[in-house]
Amino acid sequence: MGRQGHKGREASIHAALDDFVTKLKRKRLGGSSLALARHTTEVLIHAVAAQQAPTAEGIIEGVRAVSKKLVEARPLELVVGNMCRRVLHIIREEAAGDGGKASNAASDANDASDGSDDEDNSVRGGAMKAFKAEVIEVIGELIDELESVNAHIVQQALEHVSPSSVVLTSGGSDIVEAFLREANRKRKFQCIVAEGAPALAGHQMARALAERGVETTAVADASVFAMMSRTNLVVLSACGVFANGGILAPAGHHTVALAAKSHSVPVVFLAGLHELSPIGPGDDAFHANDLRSPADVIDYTALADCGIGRNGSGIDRRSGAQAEGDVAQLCVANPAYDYVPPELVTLVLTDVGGAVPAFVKQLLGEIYDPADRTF
Amino acid sequence: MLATAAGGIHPAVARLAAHYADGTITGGRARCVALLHTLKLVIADFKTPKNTKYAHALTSLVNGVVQHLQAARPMAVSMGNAVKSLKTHLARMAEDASLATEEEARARTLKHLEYFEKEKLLAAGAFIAEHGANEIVDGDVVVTHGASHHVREILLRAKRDGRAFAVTVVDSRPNLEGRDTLRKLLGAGVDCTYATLAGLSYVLREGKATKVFLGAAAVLANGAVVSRVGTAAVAAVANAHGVPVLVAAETCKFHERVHLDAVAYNELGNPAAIASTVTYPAADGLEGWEKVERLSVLNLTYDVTPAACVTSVVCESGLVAPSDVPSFLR
Repeated sequence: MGRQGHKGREASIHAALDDFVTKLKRKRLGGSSLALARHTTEVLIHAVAAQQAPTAEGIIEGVRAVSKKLVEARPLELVVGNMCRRVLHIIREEAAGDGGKASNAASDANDASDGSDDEDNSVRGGAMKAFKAEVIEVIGELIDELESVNAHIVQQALEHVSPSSVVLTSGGSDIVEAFLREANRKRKFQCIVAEGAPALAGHQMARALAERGVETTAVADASVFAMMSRTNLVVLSACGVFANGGILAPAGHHTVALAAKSHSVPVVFLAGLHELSPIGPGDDAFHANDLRSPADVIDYTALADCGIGRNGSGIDRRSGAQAEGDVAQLCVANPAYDYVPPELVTLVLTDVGGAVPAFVKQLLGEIYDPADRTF
Repeated sequence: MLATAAGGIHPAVARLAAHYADGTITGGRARCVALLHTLKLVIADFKTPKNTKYAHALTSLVNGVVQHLQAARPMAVSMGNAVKSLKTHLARMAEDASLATEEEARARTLKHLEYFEKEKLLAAGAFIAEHGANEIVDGDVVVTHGASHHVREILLRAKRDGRAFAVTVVDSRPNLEGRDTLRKLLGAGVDCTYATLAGLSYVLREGKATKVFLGAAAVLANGAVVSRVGTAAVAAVANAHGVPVLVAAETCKFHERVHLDAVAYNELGNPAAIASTVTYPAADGLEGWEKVERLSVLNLTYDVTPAACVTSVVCESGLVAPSDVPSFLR
């Protein structure tokens, strides 16, 4: 009967996992990176609870297998891998922390394994149950921690925004908006928002800031270089922070950071600890990008009269336009991300304080185990 | 002045002013050509009033025309240089006692304008196309921004010369002028990539760009390039990727003024162009922005690319370093 229950639980965790993986692959998990982090962690709690391995090492192996599956679903969502590593780190710490009780139980069980004694099994089972409960409790604390990430970042706003300064940002970001609003509570400053084409999220952001009392000017992306000569601080949001201190950011941020560099304006990236990734220049995910629909950049009808698209070749390079001879090919690039190298980053502002890019490695050492860098 | 004082602005000038104001004629070169054509019409119809000298009276009239056009849109540097050249010609003519009749003076003035257009604009343009096209080699991936007459001519010339290359057109809101460039290049059979400024870094790196060609509204005495807003960003990012930046500009766009940045002196476009989101209708954040207190929208027309970001200026004399620009102003 116990076996039946175990099977049922396994089936349900498999279903939950598959559902999450499918949603990841189809980019159906919209929303903030924090929401994704929370979602991932919740899935991992179920995965830990479902582990039947008799040892802590076994549980770690099991969770690593689940992690591998999650990360491979969408390697560009660095947050997923990060949360897997955080959970694994917790399990490892707990295993080491409880004086090796879990492993002792395991070795006892191993000693008696040939006998497959009922009593031994229940002792082992009890110890592992307690161990898992402990781990799940600590993972619960991690979820609580995620709840307060934004608040801890926003709190630091007054340390960085000085009175009557000009702060520039680009596109739309909830955390940057909250950060600037917090600064505006005590400091009078001006804000410049670049619109962030093609999605133009900066429009809503500029309006939201102005409506909440921040003196705001909306400009086109093209004006960023020109406005930089009047800017004192650039505040941007990160999608991920790499081990070398480089930033995975929304497309266009590299240009903004370069404009800032050529005017010697400090660039601050806001990023929760959950966005810190041990991925570095040697890994595939470091070089990855995501290409979005060309329709957002240029309408098909805008080029109807250009001679491309004859023979059904269309806007895409892959179609067989080459055979057509003098028919030109058009490729429309709409990347989702930019890599901002660490030399353009003045500060990464996390929920545990500011870090210069070179210090990111140190932080990574504190929150992850080196063994979990890859799965 | 006499003509304007009487409320008699020449119809061709009024028409030109309207074209400048509504943007049907844009670009430093096109605006300058249109100005020269209009001035020719004005001068052909000009009769010296009684008790005045031809050159003096015409100079006042030209001043009136300039004033009228300035009100429609601030003059481009090339236009300023064309007017300056005309006035210098008139001043010289005023001192020339050998000039007998008004007809003779008119013919010489028209000839001067003809010369200016042929030499400083048409011949210069052809030379720039030639010098620029010579820089393009097989396998090049050329990046450009927006719409520049010279850059387009350079690329079309290189294509006619049989060079095998591809072009990446980087475009920016609100004007999206790059689409014109894209259309013309595709029409000529040039393979193209199109991206917004957000994709700039991506297309430079992943597209393996080898050269950047940019247009200019003016090249200043400190080597800084005044150009359509967004150009400076393209030049700066190209620099960071180690891609050479060439700016195409005839010498009549060179100016002895010096700008340190684009904020001190600029031309403001209509903010409504920024707020309008026909390209991405889902974004409606700036709808009715005028009613939101503390919210303003700024539409800059130009920016200033520092000389450090420019590898060479392609002018009718060939490729010159931006630091050599002042020597052309002597």
